Amino acid sequence: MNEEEQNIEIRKKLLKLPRMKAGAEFENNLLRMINTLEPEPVVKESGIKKPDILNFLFGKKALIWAVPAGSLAVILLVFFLIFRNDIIKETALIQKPEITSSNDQQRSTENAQTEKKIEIPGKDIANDLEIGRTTLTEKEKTLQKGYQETVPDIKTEKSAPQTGKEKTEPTEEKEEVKIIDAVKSDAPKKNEVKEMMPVKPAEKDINKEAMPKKEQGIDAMRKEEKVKEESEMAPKTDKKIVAPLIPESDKKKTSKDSTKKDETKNKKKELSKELLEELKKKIKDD
Amino acid sequence: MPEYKSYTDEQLIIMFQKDDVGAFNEIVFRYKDRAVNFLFRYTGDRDDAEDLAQDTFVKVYRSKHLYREIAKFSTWFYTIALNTAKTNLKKKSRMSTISISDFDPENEKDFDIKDTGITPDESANAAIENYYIQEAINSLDEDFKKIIILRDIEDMDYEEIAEITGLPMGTVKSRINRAREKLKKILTDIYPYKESN
Repeated sequence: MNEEEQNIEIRKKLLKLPRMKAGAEFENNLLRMINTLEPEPVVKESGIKKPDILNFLFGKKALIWAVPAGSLAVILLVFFLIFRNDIIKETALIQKPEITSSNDQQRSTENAQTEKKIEIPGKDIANDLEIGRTTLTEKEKTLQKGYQETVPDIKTEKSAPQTGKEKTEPTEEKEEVKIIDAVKSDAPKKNEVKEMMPVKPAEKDINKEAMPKKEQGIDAMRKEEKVKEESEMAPKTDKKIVAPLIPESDKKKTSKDSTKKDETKNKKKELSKELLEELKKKIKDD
Repeated sequence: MPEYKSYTDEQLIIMFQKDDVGAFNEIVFRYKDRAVNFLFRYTGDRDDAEDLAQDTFVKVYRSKHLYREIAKFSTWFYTIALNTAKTNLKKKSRMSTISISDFDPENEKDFDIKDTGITPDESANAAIENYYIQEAINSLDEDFKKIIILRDIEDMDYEEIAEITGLPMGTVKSRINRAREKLKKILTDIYPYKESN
C-alpha cells in the first residue's frame, strides 16, 4: 500500500489524461469494413458447412440421434463382418467335402484311365513318362501291376508246352508232321520206283521163263537180299521220321489252314495206307 | 426493436451471436471510445488507434461464436484489442525502429490535443504534460505499458488485468508498481521543470 501511495500522484496524472474519442466516421468506416469483409465470413460459413463429423456429432448443433445411430451402425457392421467371416468359413467347410468328392471322382476317373492304359500289355513299361507324372505310390502300384501282368505272361509262354491244350496240339502237329513225312517218305522215289518196277508179275514171269536156272537162282538170292534190306530199312525209316520243330510263325499259318490241310492230310493218310497195304501185299506176294 | 441500452454487454454479445446486428451496433457504440483511447495510449498514434479499433470490432464481428459467458465481455474485448495492437506494433517494428534517444522535445512535431476549455497557459501546460506522459508511456516496455494502461488509464481491477494479460495477480501488481516507478523516473528526466515547480 505504501508503494501505491508513493506512486499515487502518477496514477492521478494518468487518470487525468484526456480520453480519446473515436471519430465521427468511425462507425461508417467500420460498417464499410464489415461489408467488404462479409463475403469472407460467408465463405467460411460455406467451409463450416462442409461435412465435419466431429461438429456434426458433438457440436452445438449436434443431432442427438446421430451418436447412437452411428454407434449402432458401426456395431452392426462389426457383427456383420464377424458373422460373414464365420459364414464364409462354414460354407467353405461344407463345400470342402464336395470338392474333395469331386476330386475323388476325378482321381477315380484318372485311375480308371491309367488302369485302362495299364491293361494294355507292355504299355506300362513303355509309358514311363506317363508314370512319371503320377506320384510315387501310383508309380509303385503301376509297376507292380505291370510286373504282375507281364511276368505271368512270360511264365505261361515258358510253360505253354506243359499245359494240356498246348501240349496236345504240338503232339498232334508232330504226329501230323510225322504222317506227312511218312507220306513223303512213302511217296514213290526214283530208287523205289526202280525197285518197284520189277515187282510187276507179267514181266517177271516172262523173264523167269526166258532166263536160265542159274540166273533164276541168282535173281532169287538178290530178291531175298532186297527183302532183307527192305525189312532192315523199314525200322530205319521209323527212326528217321522225327518231327522237325516248326517255327511259331508257321504254326500260326498252319492253324489258319488247318481245316484244308486236315482234309488233304486225311486223303494223304488214306492214300498212304492204301499204298502201304499194296506194298505189303506185293512184298508178301514176292 | 428492443432497447439495447438496457442490456448488459454479455447479453448483447449473446444476442449478436444469434445474428442480432442491432446488438453489435450497441456494442460498437459502447466500446468505440474506450477502444480508441486504449489503443491510442498503447500505440501513441491516433490514426493507428482508430484503425486498430476498427480491426478489433471486425474481429469481434467475425469471432462472435468464440465468446463464452464465463468471462466478462470487456475482458474478451480488451484481449482482442491488445492482441491486435501487439501484432500491429510487431509489424511496425519490422518496418522501422525508433528509439527514445531520437526524442527531442525542442523539435516538437504535430500532436493533436483536443480543446478542453482550459485557459491557454493551463492548456499549454496540460498539453505539454500529457505529451510527456504519453511519451513516457511509450518509452516503457510492453509488459509494463499494457498493464499500467489497463490499470491507471482504463481503470480496470487486478483480476481483469490478470485475465486479459494472462498473468498471475502478484506479477500484475508488482509490474504495475514497477511501471509507475519507471514512469516517474522518466517524467523527472524529460520533464524536470515540473518537479522544480
